[in-house]
Amino acid sequence: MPYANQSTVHVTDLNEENIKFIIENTDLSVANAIRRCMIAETPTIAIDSVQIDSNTTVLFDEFLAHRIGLIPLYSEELVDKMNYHRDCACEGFCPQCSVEFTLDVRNREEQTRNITSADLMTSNPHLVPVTSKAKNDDEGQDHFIEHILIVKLRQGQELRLKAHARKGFGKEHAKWIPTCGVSFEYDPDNILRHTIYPVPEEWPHSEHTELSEHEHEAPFDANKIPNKFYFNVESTGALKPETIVLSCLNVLKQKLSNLQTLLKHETLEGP
Amino acid sequence: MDKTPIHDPSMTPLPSTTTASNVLQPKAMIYICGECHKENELKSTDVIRCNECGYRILYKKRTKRLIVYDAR
Repeated sequence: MPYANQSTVHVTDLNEENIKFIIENTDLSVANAIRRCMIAETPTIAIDSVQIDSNTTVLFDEFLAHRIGLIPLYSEELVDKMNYHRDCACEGFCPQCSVEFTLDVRNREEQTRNITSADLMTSNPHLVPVTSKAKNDDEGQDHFIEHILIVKLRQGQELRLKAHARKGFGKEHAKWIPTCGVSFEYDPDNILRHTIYPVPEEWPHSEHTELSEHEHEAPFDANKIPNKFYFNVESTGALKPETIVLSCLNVLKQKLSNLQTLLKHETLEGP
Repeated sequence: MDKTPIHDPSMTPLPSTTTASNVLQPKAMIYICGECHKENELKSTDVIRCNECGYRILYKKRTKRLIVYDAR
């Protein structure tokens, strides 16, 4: 491809929650598309349907259903194998497009009982809430795992429900967003003057700066274009950070490929 | 996305005007006393008071219909 950029990627840091990488020699629009895609179009699995059989808690039905939908589920293993509910051949729910959860708690003791994400019982052990995912540490269960609080129960109060989790992505509802935040930076020293600092001395240096201690802003260069993009993707735990990036690129590729196919049909049908 | 909960279609009442009801008229329903929380069975013709403590405010039980919500 004669006019294509020879882009490069360097991963600078990778752990369980974060991935930091730098993309060079690509266009700003491409880097931004990757950022947007990572947030809104990377598929995950989240609870999408709640059937409440009994609720004597202080929160009303819809409130509980909303909270339960927002609980992140560790989708790493199942998300590629599941169909979207709208694409599935079944009517209603089936194991190909949904996973069933159950919650059945009644507080019989005097003290307050907290219903947490740990009380959500799954029908498929490959799909559990993020907080229930056992950490494979050498120290075992020494870490205090804070489960997500759903509601608190007084003595005699009860909550019983069935829920179904489905595949989806951020564009449809925020519960399917796999990232906490995607940090995106380019031109740390403001060579391009894409922003104008009223008082450059006030602004602290970025971690990616090439300026010395006493310099505040690099000299303006009219011929430069945005070229090097610093990403830091933080995951909610629904997907591993590296999976978010790779899945996002897959989705982008699919979209471009669909567009190309449709364009081909258009030009063939021409006058 | 519609926000109304989905009701089980088999439980929807028939819209016909001359409903031949195959249920006992008056139907006896269970109401819960506001004070002693006892379950009272009441017909539509009965006086509204608890059988045990005489409290006159009674509450209806939660519907038996399956209510499904979108978790959105």
